[in-house]
This record gives sequence, C-alpha cells and structure tokens, in this order.
Amino acid sequence: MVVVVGAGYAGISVAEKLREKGVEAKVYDMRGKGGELAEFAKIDELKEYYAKYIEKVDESEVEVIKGCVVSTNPFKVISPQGLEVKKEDGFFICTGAVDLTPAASEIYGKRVAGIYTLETAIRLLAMGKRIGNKVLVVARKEEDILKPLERYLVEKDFEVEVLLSKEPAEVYGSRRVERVEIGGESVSCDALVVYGGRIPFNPKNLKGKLAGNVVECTYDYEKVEKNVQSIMF
Amino acid sequence: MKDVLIVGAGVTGSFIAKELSKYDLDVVVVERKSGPGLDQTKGCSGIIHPLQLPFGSLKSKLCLKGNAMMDAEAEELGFTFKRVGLILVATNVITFLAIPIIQLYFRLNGVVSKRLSKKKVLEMVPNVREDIWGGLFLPTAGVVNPVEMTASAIRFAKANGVEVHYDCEVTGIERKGEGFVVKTTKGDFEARCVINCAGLYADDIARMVGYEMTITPGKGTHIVFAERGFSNHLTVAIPLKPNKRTKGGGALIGFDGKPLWGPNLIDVDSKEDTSVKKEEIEGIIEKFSPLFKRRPEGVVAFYAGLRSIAGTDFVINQPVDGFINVAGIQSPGLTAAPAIAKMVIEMLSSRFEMKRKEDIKRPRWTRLSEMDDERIRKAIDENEDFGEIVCLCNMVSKAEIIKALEEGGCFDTVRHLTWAGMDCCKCHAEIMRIIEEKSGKVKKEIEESEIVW
Repeated sequence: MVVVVGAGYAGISVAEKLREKGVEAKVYDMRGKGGELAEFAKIDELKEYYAKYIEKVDESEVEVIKGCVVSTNPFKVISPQGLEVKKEDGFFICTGAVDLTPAASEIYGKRVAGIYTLETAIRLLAMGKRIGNKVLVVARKEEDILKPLERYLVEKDFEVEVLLSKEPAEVYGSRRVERVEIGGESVSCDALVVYGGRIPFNPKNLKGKLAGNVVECTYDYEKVEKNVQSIMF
Repeated sequence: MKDVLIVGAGVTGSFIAKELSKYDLDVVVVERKSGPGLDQTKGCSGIIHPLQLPFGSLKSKLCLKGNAMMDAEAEELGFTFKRVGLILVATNVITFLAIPIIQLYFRLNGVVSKRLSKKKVLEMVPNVREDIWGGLFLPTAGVVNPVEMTASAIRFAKANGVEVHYDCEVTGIERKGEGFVVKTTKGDFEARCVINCAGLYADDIARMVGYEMTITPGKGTHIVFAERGFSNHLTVAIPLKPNKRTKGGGALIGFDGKPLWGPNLIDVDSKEDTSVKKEEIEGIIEKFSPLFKRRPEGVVAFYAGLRSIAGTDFVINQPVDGFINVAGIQSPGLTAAPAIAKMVIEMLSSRFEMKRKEDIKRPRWTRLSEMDDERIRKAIDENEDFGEIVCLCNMVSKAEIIKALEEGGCFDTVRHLTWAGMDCCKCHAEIMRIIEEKSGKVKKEIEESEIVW
C-alpha cells in the first residue's frame, strides 16, 4: 500500500492524483486534514486569499487518518489509539515547511515574550488569540501572504507596521517586547512577528518521494501546486 | 515554624532542597520565577566540567567532587547526563609541546586525561581542521539539560515533603528569636534557618541580614546550531595564555547533541541584561570557527545567561547564626551543585538532629522519546495523551507537556523541561494552547510576562 504522510494541500493533492490513477493511498497527518490551510481558513482575509486551495482540500473525499508517522522503514505511527508498526510499499512525504527561527532571521536582543515567527503568529490568530496590540512585522523577503494578513490585523484593530528589511534587528523589553531597533530606527511595539523564510519540516527524516512545500518552502501555494504537478506527471 | 527556608529554586537551591528532603525536616523553597531553574541556571551552557582552575580553590574542589557524584545523582533523580568528554585541541606547536605538562598538572590534581594523536583527534571530530597538532581527552566532562537537572531535584524534594512556592519574591528578612521571619510577595514565612541561594540577587538577600557583599553579573552568550553530530564531544582549543576569569567557552554540544558555541564573558550593569548583541555572535563565530573546516549548519537560537560573580570564588558561609550564604555560584556551579548540597547539610548538622527518613520516594519522569515500542504502547494505553505528539522534532507528547506544567506553570518551564519546541517553532502555538487550556493563562517565565492575549 502507498502512504502519504501529511494531509495539507500537497498531501491531499497527491492522494487525489493517485486516486485518478487507480491507486488508493492511505493519508496520515499528526493534526488532521488541511495542514496550515486549516489555520488560514479561520482567518477571513487568508481564507479568501487561499480560497481555491482551501476549497480543494474541503471538497476532497480523501480520508485522513489522524496519527503521527515517526518512521517509514519500518512504518511506525503513533496516535491516541496506540502504536502501529507494519510494512508499507511506497511513501510520499508531504510534511510541509516551517519558518526559520528568529535567531536564524537575524533577530538579536532580549528573548522576551511577544516574539513570534510568522507561522506561530498565524496559528495563534487562527485560535482567536490577540498576539499583542502594536505589531511590528519584519520580513526578510517578500511574501504575498503578508498583505492579506496586514488587512486582517488592521481590521481587528491591531496597530501594524510591516517592514521589508534585511537589516539585523534588536529586541528591547523587560518582560515583553517594548521596542525593536532596526536599520538605525527604533520602532515601539509590543509584538514582533518575524518572517525570515521557510525550510522543510521533516524532522524524522522520513524517506520517500518529497512533494509540495517540502521541496521549495514557501507560503505561495502556486509553487506547492507546481511541485505536486511535476511529481505526479 | 519551618526548619529551613531556601531562597531560590535554581540548581543550588534545588539540590540543597533535594538533599534536605531525605531528613526529618520541615523545608520550604521560595522562588521569584514561575518555575525551577529559570534564571541563572537556564542561561548556562549545561556542561558538567571535568575540572576548574585554580586547583585548591573552593569552586575547584566542589567541581571535582560534584563531577564524581553526577552519575549517581542522574540515576537517583532520573535526569539525562551524558559523559561525552572534552577534547582540548593543540592548534599550534607551542600548545602541542605543552600537552605533557598539562597532563601531568591535571594528574597531580586528580584529573584523568588521555593524550590524543592528531589522527585520533581527526577521527573523533571529523570536522576539525587538518592542520591541528594533537589533543588531550578529558573523559569525565559531560552534558545535561540544566533546567531538567534542577526540576528533577525539585520534583524529588516535593515528593519527599518539601513545600515550593513560585512567583514568590523575598522582600525582607527579620530576626525573630532564634529564627527569622522571611517576608515575601506571597506572605510571611517563619524559619529557623535561611539558606540564600538567590543567585544574581544573593547580595540583596544577604544585605537583609546585614551581610555586605556584591554580586556582579557576567554575561555569557551562546549560539545553538541545528546540525546534530557535527561534533560528538566538547571541543576547545588550548589557549596560549589562560584567562583567569573564564575557561573561555568552546565548541560545546548540548545534551541533545546540537552544537552549542560559547559562552563569552561580558561584564554588564544590569542583572536582567540577557540581551544578545550581533557583535557577540560574530565574536563567538570568529573565535571558534578556526578550529573547524566548516561551520555547523542551521542556526536555531541565540541565548545569553548571567553568571553571579562575587570575587573569584564561591561564597559559602554563615555570617549570621542560622543564615547560610550559597552565593557567587558562577561556573562551574552546575557541576558543583550536588557537592554544594552536601557541604550545606554538613553546615546544618550542628544545628539540627539530621535524622534520615526511612521511606524516601523517587519520582520518575516519563519521556516518550526514550521508550521502546512496548513501553510506548503501554504508556498510551494508560494515558492516551502520550499518543498525541506535540513536538515531532524532540518527540514530546501532550502528556509530558501537561505534566511539565505541574513543575512550573509557564512556557519556559514546559519548553526547557520537555525540550518541546527547542529545534524549531512549529509547535509553539500548540504548546501555548495546551498551557492555556490547563492553566487559563500563558506566561513566559514569570508573572507579568504574558505571551499572548
């Protein structure tokens, strides 16, 4: 049997494509269907921005098994039901990407409360949490998701400043972010959201065909889509 | 009235509490942070040192004694301790020629070491540069997770009757009869004896009973890299001229195998200044890079800790009857902690009838990452939260996150104790969600350091 690890956009797409070819794959995900798209769907502006990808996942009838795949050979899955160990034939690794840490994104200074990677900030916002009131977003590279995110934050009465800058930044504050110095300027804020780029998220080093956001890591799902296409055809 | 009140749940306070909990005594620990080991202890390098110069100093003696005790402590308390060994590398002919002298000097002071040929050094650390001359191996050097080590001592102490209060800052101490009244942000405590393990603030506490001392903070910055296995030993170049104030740091490794470079030593004004400067990071890279052919891949984090420095040695004394200072515990305090605890017990034995308890409890911490398949199945069977992986990088389950909250209700305790979210930020939001679900709020390390909402 073929196994797809990860039920985000890439995983679901791969499973759909396999189905078209007459191959029924088993899809596993440690958190459930949708991956980070499921988080985006909880934020109106992002839901709209990623609409076609979210719809595709929603409409898919591919069944997702909730379980954490910790190795492929032997195939091991941990879930609240227990530990399963068996043998499977082929693997598609669709475990997605993770943001670079603040340190890897050249954020120096105090490690106080209120510093988030873009990914963590989005996840918290999707839970309906306020990540602060005055948010500084420091992006090391352009990423289109920042625009709808900014709109959302403004809509929710956050004060927002988005800085596209490669200058090192330094955080000041006693228990929480109070200000950030970047490029010779001092920005007063109580939350810092950092985007320094993404890298593959495959900590267990699962072996198989890499698909989707593990290949070129991004928030741009057109690239994820392209990668899935190139793998399946 | 309590028998003993300990100020501070850092590694020394926790180990003293652990040791005292084996006796028929009423002991309380007060800590200003929200969990154990979150100030000076958290910021250290986690190295169990093989030795400390100058030989003969109190810190050197306690270092050697503590190092020798560490296997038994790890066994008793259930924390992870790995004797990974330290390689002193001779990078030039002068330090190479000095190796036999260094080895003899170490041996005369009871420290074992083994000479390594150039070939052997390259074999042990394949990433070391080819033009090194040779080295000296110190097998007794080791690594721990300092917060885990501290928390495991506190857990043991609590299981054996010690009372621990977090978010509890001492604001004053008054003499009352033979004992003391210790005023805190959580009310007054009366105790026959007070042990000052307040780390960076030990001078403030000592002053409350009229003992004058000054603690100066010495900052040490570190870089954590992602590439596990870059080196499997602590690697340090033999300096041409040793620095009297610091061992000089090194290309260290964490207990999880990730490269950990540093620390430097920077005198700072504030006891809260754990800021990491760009120049410091560049300085560390510049200092340790020449040892290797390349740098380890991937930066995970920068962090700085503060050493509490009171002159050149530890200050362990009893300036006022019933008040014991355990202050100025700079490096190698982590290594010395078990030996310091024994020393304090000795000091207390003239005051209390030290009657050992008959039944001593040994609580255990369960880690999914250390279990085999059979034990994983059993653990999930008993508690399905073990089947819910929160941190995939370090294989931490929801059950462990919830358990960690009992040891200290804040984000830093959960992360440092379970090691969840220490490789990337993927699970941080999930950890915060669980913390909020269980305790109603999320703080980083202390009251008023709210992370979100």
